[in-house]
Amino acid sequence: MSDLQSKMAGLKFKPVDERVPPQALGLWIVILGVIYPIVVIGIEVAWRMCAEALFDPMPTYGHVLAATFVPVSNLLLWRHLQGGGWRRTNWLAFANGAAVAIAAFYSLLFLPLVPIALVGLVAGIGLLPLAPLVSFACALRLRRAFYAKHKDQAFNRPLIGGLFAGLALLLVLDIPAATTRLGIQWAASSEPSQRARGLTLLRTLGDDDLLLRLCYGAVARPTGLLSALVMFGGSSLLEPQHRQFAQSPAEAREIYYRVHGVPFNARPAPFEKGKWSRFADVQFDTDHGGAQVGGRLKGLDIVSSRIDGSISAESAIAYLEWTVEFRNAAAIDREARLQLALPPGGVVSRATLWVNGEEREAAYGGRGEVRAAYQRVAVQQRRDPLLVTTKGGDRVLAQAFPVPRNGGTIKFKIGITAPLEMTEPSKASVVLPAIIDRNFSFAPDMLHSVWIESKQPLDASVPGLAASRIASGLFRIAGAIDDRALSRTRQTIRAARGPGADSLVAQLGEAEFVVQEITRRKAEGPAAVMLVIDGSARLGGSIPHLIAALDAIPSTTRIGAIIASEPGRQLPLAPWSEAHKRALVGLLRSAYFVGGQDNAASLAMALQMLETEPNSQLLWVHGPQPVSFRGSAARLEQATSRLSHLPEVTLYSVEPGPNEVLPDAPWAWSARSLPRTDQPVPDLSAFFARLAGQTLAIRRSQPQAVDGLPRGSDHVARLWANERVLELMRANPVGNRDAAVSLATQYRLVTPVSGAVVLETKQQYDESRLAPVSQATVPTIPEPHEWVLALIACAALAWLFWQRRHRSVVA
Amino acid sequence: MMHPLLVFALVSAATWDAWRWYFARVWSAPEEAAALVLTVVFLGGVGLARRSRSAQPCPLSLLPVATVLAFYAATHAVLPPIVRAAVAASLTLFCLHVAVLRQRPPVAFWGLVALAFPVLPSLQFVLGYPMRVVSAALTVGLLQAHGLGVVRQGTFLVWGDEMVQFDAPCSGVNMLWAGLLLTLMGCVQLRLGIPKVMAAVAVAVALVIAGNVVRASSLFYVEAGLVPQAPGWWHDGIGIVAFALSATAILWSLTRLHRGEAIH
Repeated sequence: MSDLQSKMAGLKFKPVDERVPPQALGLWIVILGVIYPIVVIGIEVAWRMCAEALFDPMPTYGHVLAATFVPVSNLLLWRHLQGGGWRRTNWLAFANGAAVAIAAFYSLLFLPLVPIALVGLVAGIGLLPLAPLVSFACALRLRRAFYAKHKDQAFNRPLIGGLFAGLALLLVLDIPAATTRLGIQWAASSEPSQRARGLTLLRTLGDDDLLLRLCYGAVARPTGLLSALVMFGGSSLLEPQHRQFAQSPAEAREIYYRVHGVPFNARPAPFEKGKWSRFADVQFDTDHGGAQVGGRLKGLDIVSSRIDGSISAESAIAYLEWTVEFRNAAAIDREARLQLALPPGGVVSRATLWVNGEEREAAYGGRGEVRAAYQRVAVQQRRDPLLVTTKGGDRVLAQAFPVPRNGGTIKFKIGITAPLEMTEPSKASVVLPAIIDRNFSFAPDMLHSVWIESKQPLDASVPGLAASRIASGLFRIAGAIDDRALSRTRQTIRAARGPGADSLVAQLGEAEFVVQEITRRKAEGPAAVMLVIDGSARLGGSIPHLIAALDAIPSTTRIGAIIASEPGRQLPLAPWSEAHKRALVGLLRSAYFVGGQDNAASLAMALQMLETEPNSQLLWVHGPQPVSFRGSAARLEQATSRLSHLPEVTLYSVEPGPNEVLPDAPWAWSARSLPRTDQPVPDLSAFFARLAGQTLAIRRSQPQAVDGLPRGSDHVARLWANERVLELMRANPVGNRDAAVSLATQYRLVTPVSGAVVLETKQQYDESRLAPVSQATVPTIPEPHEWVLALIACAALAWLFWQRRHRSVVA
Repeated sequence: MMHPLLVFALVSAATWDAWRWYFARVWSAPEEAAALVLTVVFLGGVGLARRSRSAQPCPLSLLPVATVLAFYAATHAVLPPIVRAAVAASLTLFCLHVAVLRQRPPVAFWGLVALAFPVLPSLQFVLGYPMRVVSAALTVGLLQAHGLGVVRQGTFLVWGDEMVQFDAPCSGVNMLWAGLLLTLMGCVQLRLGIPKVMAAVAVAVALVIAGNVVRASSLFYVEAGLVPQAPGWWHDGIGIVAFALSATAILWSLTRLHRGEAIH
């Protein structure tokens, strides 16, 4: 006892500090909270790895500055804790609050990548996605140390102020994207005023790149705070019934057209650039096997193109074969799709596909039949077919699959039979076909190689194509032109024509004889013409040309006009006079051409106005029409099926592009295309001049006697068959369908009721049953096994044990 | 007063029939016994950790034990085997807890006892579909926030023509079971009171669901091909990391709750 007292006597007691003094933060926090995030930000700014591969975390310089603020704030705080640097503690707390808010946002954004990154650490990659979380943790740790150092001061107000400032900064940076999201939601509304407001917003403040990315179904940009409010919680901004998220690519594509007046695939696809881009490799082809061309696919290029042809001016016939080859550099198989504008009155009469280096001819059948066969083989079996079907008047859609991945190629040929256009008995011409819609790109320096021969002199005004006389009685046009020259304005090949040969006979195989006669035809009395002018932005530049062409309108004509826009404006039919011309010019000049307009309602109205006119024509001057607007399309379809009389329709497209507006019906199949060969003035003037003057008409028929007539090209018989198919369908679409299909198949033609398909094996041709996709092929994401989870739980508990023991030992 | 270990041994022997049924049941699916094994190991571990503490043995009154055993014997002929096993397991584990830890069990212990039964199939049946729907909906929100036009069709995630399925093994029920096991063990270890246990369980459920959502969205990137050349083992690895993150957050929340309890 005494011994113990003697020992205790030496002890001194003093009050124990309530809190453990703050530990100095070592250099590790500078490495993790400052250097590491700055290096990651630098790497992302320099190489844009995350932006291209997954999503763009810093789409603007403002975002870069906001992200950089976090390590800078950490550095300031660390230096202060070391006893140097900035000493304004309130501002430091404010900066820390802002850094915490920004880092928390980016941590949440990268949360789904954290498991991938942690697993990737094992493989030596994955450091980059962890930077936001690590710098967030460092900011919190610094805050703790800062509070510990200044425990006698209250920093709640500057800290909360900083948090709000950080959030406000993130909100401000997201304004352009959120505006675009809001505009998209409004533009997707079915209410016209709401839609107009959305389109105006998108045209003035919208982010085009974001809208284009939505067209491809992958934005690859994070949704900011404000955008999230618009997307997920916009009930205060929009009435519930108007809340549409417009996230489907189809909706976005429609909005894109409404905003810009051009199809989304007229612009280069996002994700095309960048070596880290994965979106292009997984880019979905939602139009695979379908009847739309769809978006541009990365890596899919046309690598060779040749147009071979012959022109028989005597028979007033041209036959052209277009051979194209595609290469696919992407990591998955692709379908090549293109829409061709044929020469006016032309028809596809041949299709071949190279299978294992061998050229295979197509089989012809009913349109539904061949499409079903194609889908069975291309979509389900993923083997080699080619499908060619019509896509409205004078247009065809060709699609081939697969263009094998990693540099594989596919090659096919389309043969086109076309009548020559004759303005004078001694002059004939043919307009070359053109690619007007495509889902591929052109390889650098890719040119269309053209080689056309004739027994009559040829002439072309296209730079790059040279006319030459090869031998007596053999003339040639040859050369190479780029796609812009071929499709922007349609190129014409002219052939001289000798006297006589106005009548000839032709026969395809053992089929009936067909007689072709070239006669002069006078216009059938005064014509009534309705002009439907597309109100889209692309037409704005063509209006002066259209006004100039009005001078060619014959005085006997009755003219009316409709500007297809929302709301539509119209000029009723009236005899052509100076006063009426002034009214029409006034209408055209006062019209506001903007975005992409819905033309279907105006077309339906024009048809109704022409119903009582016996000799009527509808001239539709338009730009690309990539969208069939649901409501108005039904109205146009109803008009074409119910009206007692329909006019002849002529389509004049001021620039190449798809046309999805006209219904798939006999009236629309007979639509005559007026190719844009030069400036609109001469094209339209020629059209107007024909309304009252004499024209040369080519008539094909099956007469009883053909004795004494010279023999012409068998393509004449094909053109007759094509016209006959359309006649049959116009007369009785239901009752004559089988006969029309049979005739088209017999003459091996691609018509509105028939198509051409090349398959790989006979078995494929015979097959008719579809196989459903097995659910077993759908990938799943099962959880880890129970024992693994239990092990983790045990490890966590062990840590809890250890920590408690450690603390008790320390205490 | 009898030594608790002896009571434990006697109770185990008295309910041998229920234990026989239990082991016959888990023979075909041994993973169903994991919770019981882990609970026993956990109690043993805690007992070892506290062996140095000089605590008096907890007085274990024989009357309630005898009453429950009497009830067990009286209803043996009418109760279904699973209920008999529940009574037997509850009583046996209670005696084990008192024997090993020398104190009455906290409330979280009874949660562990509930998990010790073969509950996974029942959890999958009852909670599987709702959890799949909830997880799929939240995953879609997270992926949409990344700018991916993913939509939910039932329990499928659809992105263009890519489709990823939330099937039964993806529901997160396994993670929920493991997360609850961890939470309840932590609560026993920290001897949290009823409100804190309820809060801990609620937080754990939320964190496990969040973990499952993070796991699913990570795997979506892998399945959709956006993360190139991911080897097959990444699939399991991502699941393990996601659960480890949830477990870390659960432990953090437990320690926070414990500190709160200590302060109050």
